[in-house]
Amino acid sequence: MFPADVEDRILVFLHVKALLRARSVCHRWKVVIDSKEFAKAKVETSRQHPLVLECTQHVQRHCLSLRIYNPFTGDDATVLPLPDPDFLPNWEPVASAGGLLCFSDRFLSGAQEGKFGVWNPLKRNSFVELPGISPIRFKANMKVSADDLSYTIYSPTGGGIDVFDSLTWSWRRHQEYSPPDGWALWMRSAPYTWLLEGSTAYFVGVKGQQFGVIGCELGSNRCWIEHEWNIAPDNMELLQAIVRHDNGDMIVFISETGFVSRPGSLERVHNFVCPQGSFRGELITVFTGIQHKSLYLCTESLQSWIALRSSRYGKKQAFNPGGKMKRPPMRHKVERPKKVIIVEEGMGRRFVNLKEVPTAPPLEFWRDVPPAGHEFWVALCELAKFVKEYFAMEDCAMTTVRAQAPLVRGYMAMLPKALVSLMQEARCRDKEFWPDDYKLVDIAKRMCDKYDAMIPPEIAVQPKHVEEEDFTAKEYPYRACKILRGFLGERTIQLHVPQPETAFYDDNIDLEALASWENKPWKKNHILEEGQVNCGNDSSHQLELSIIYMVRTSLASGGLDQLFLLVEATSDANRPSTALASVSNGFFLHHCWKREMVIWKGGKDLPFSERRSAETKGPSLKKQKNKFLKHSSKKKSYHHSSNCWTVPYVGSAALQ
Amino acid sequence: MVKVTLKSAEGDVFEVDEELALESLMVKNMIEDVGLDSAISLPNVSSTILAKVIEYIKFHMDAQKDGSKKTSEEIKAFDDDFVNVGIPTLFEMVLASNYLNVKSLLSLTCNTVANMIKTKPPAEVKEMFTSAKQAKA
Repeated sequence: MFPADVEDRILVFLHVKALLRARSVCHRWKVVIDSKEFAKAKVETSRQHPLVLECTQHVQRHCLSLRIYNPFTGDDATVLPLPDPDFLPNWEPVASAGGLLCFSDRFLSGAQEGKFGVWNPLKRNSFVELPGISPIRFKANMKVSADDLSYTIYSPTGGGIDVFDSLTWSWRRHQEYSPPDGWALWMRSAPYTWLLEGSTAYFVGVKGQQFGVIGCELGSNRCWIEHEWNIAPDNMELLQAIVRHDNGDMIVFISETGFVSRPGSLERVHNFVCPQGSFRGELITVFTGIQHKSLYLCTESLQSWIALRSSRYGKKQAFNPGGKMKRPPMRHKVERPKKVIIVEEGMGRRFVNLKEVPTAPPLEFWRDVPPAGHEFWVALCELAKFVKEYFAMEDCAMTTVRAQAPLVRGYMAMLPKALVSLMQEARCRDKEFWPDDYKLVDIAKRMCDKYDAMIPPEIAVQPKHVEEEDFTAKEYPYRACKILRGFLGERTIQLHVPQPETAFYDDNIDLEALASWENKPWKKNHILEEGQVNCGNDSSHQLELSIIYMVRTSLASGGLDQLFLLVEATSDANRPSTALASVSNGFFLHHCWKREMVIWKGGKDLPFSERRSAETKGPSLKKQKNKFLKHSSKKKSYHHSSNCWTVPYVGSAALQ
Repeated sequence: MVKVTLKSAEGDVFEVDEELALESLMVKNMIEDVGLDSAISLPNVSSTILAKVIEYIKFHMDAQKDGSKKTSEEIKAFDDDFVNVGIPTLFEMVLASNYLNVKSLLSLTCNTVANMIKTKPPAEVKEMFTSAKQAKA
């Protein structure tokens, strides 16, 4: 019925899967779809009709799923087959163009080279790994030429942009960039937060206390300051994305602290603090589409204020660049238990009414507090008071107190200036700025030492100081390493928490092996033997410390990318889960921000009735794991169970 | 305002503003060739379809004017509603917009057809296209 050119025009609007099907409608269509002219037309059209590729990692199945949909209609989601059955979930889509997808290997912490792969969803077994490029990097951008359908991949690094050309199949240094006077590229941000737009690349730069966006023209050495901000956010490392609006605005997202920067300002986004769960949920990108609407993509754990997935958040919300940002309600509320529980304290037991656990002052309290003057000190004293109570309570009511940890962190985000000045005074600027719970004590202590005279004596604080030695105490590293060895071999740690009367120390530790392990560079697929850890007569606090230490050690050596904790709770289900809860709430969020953490929560309700021990012939760890997986997949998925991230999927051409 | 007279396949006459008529590249070429004096006959477009096309162009021209208060949601709603017709009508609209060479309408209708194809198995797609052919014949 239709003239051929109209039919072709219709076909151009189809994407990947539909195209694959359309090829079998008739011979003419097959010829058309397979032709290069069609691919070129597709490259053109796809620029006008962006799609979103959403990549979800399913913990239960330990695999990825890729889904493409149109954010404007939201309804024509297409599930893509994986490039090949063994496709590992460590490939993360970073860019796409002309129907091709570029993946980056994000498990590369120990390696020296960045790895990328390119995949054409239309072709079976078309996934190709590109040659490695040193130094290590994760971010890239991609362009497809409409003339010869070759693709180019741009990846920035410290000195310049490296470009991969599919015609020559090699990397070359495209250009060096030299930022304007006094400016330096901020290379610590999410390895190189940048934006490639047309022939301009934008980077985050820093100059003293200023930061800004440096524009850089590809093909020439011209660099300029696109926008600058007078204040540097205190946590530049968490810079997540640069975004450019149609109207020329530049926005920089600094995710965890809840800051959004626009030219000239640094805005705090209300209630944006303390994303729960895995911080891997990274704000990937933003793209502008039809009719100059901008849509922000943001994964669920960041509690995006612009949600594309209409099924989850109800109605789609459009972004209004001038107005206030909206965000959907918090999905994971931190709720304080209201019951009275029994907790252990030393040898005895104590009843603690959780209602008495101190409540942090509201966040509003800290906003607009002038950095000096009376109110400031009052505010600080309030904080000190809270910190004191917080840590006094820590031992006995960890769950509840821990539940407030994000809130405390929220405070810190609200008080950056005050704290910076404080820490300058305390001469601890060399330390990592972001205060974790223990550093909090430290800060509080220094604060008190320094300002004792100024703080009214009745609220002067002598907080419990958690010594550094606590972490380096003998047993923790060893046990932690043991746990890790188990992890590396099996990707599963089984924390066995036996009855309290079991011996505390495990004498059969191979100290030398552990010591050598710590110095060993972590390699992909590095297999170590399966390990099982007895945590002994642990209080959850100690268990937690060892996990934390483990994470720290492994992070320091670049070893831990993904941690699967499988906790067997034998006698007291509360303990490991408490520890897990606090780990997931606390340290992980900012130490593992670039990495993946997945927690399988164990507990009384899970089918771990049989205890596996050396004496009895229990099911193998693998069998147990399978059983666990089978069971847990039936349950409603735990909120850590999947991570989504998205890239705009540009085009769906049948590239040859 | 100069008016242009368009004549549909049935011989019905539509009088539209020149500005509006120029949106169709085909009509634009015709006007350049033969001038405004005589009616421009469009033997491939039926009256109902021509009316719809004119409605579409009119709406979008109004929406693009400076004083327009139409939001993009309204425009989208209009578009959705506009293409929410039966397959025969839709196909005719595709043909008409192709014949009249109205770019935006052609994209819209082609996209709609593509969306219909997307979820259908090949056999149904084939049927859809051939049955439309027979209906036309």
